[in-house]
Amino acid sequence: MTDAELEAYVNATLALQGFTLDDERRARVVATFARNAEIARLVTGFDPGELTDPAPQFVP
Amino acid sequence: MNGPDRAAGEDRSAPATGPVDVAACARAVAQGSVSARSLTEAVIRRIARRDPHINAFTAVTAERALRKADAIDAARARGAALPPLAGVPFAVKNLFDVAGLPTLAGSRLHERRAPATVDAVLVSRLEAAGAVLVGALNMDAYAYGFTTENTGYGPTRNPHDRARVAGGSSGGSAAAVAAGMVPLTLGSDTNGSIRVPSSLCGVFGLKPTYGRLPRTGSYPFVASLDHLGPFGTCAEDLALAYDAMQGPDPADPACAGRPLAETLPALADDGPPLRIARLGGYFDDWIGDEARAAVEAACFALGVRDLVELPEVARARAAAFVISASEGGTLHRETLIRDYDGFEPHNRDRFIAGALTPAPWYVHAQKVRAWFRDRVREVFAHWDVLIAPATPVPATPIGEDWLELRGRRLPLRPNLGAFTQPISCIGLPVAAVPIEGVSALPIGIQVIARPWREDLCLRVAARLERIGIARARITGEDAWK
Repeated sequence: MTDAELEAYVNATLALQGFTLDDERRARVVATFARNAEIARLVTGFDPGELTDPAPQFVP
Repeated sequence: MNGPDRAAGEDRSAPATGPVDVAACARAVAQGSVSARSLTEAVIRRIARRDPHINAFTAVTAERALRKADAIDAARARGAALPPLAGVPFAVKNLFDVAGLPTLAGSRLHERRAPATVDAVLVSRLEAAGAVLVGALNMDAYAYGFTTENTGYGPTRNPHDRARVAGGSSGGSAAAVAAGMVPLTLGSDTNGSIRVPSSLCGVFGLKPTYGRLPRTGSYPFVASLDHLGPFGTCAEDLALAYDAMQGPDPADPACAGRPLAETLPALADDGPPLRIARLGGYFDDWIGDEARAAVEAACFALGVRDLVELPEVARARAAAFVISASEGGTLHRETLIRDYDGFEPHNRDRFIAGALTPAPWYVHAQKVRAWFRDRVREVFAHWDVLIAPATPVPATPIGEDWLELRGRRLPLRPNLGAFTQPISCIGLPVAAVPIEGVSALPIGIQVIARPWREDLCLRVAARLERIGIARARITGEDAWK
């Protein structure tokens, strides 16, 4: 995802969810989301296998 | 156990009213060497004297506490059997419901809310065991933080160096014990919020297995990761409190219907030999000198020679991060839309960004979490207890944004939880144990066991105390001169 695509996603999702932020606040959320996306890549870049289902209630 | 000494010159007429441990408080009240009222009054005076320097408390429930103390004294006077924690003062993180108080969860916005009408289940259970609630404690707003630098209520200061953080998000809970104000507190731990402040303040903490203690009547952060647990001055404090709080609760859907599994007997350490290993790999990569010294000292004392590497720890931590961001952001989305300006500046953008998390990230994170759980279960086929650092470094200065660690410059606040987050991600029980003699400021380790074996965590914690390298650091009157 390019920076522009990421920013477009954040802007669209903010609007979809009902947030109305000024440009400064929006920029901070974009930067935070970009960091989240980087961390999420560690998760999405790993294949835990087809049979691993997320439990609706986690039991350790 | 190694309870702290009483503060010199304090409350000389009432021998057990200094900052002693839970068992000593209960014993003194049961034997009549001190009344529950005089113990409670002494604690309230101590909070009034010390807390202005620490900012651990957001409310002191003096009237309620004295009522409860009088009831205990009356029961004793008429010869009734006292419950095990009779007269023991305790306080709770302000995300626990306390009847008559708004449940702040660290947020000024919640001051407008109606006061709770009933106590949280764990508060009720401790009071049923005779403990006396004396107040509510500061925290990171909505439990999203590791430092308790709360904008609305001010930072909680580390009792060992008031220019430094107490850790978080249960910073008030750890600091109140470390400052000798109360011997017992409750906190919550989603990604490390009991273990991080325990380490930085030099006290003991217990994060039980996910689903062990009911969360009914506590304000959530991340429902699929939230745990509640105690802080204390020694392993025995934790065992006494934890044993009094166990038991199923149908009102918390995550709470397991497991029978009481007492941990106090395990402290005698006379069970079968334990297979203990040290966690390496990821846990060695991100460790500072003091934390490494603490782990090495504990492992040397326990005779631990084996190093174990868990697979994909960084991904497990990332999974916990994604789940926390998504669930936490969703929880607060409407409040943030309505009242962005009133929300904690330290975490409002993080909550909003979390609310935007794509569903596939979240679902994949839950899958990674389940995968990691299964791999770690395999490790526990060979080991009973694993030792790991609790925090990469001791307490950092209030306001500090960055952490220099082994040549790397890292954002400080999220990385205080680098070692705790992967463990709570899969709900394992952990005792946070303060290790003495390795650094000027306190630093702790994690003692980790397989699910439902809190007894093993506390057994090893007690062994480390007995050996003499684990000890809570409680500040005395000298700290205020």
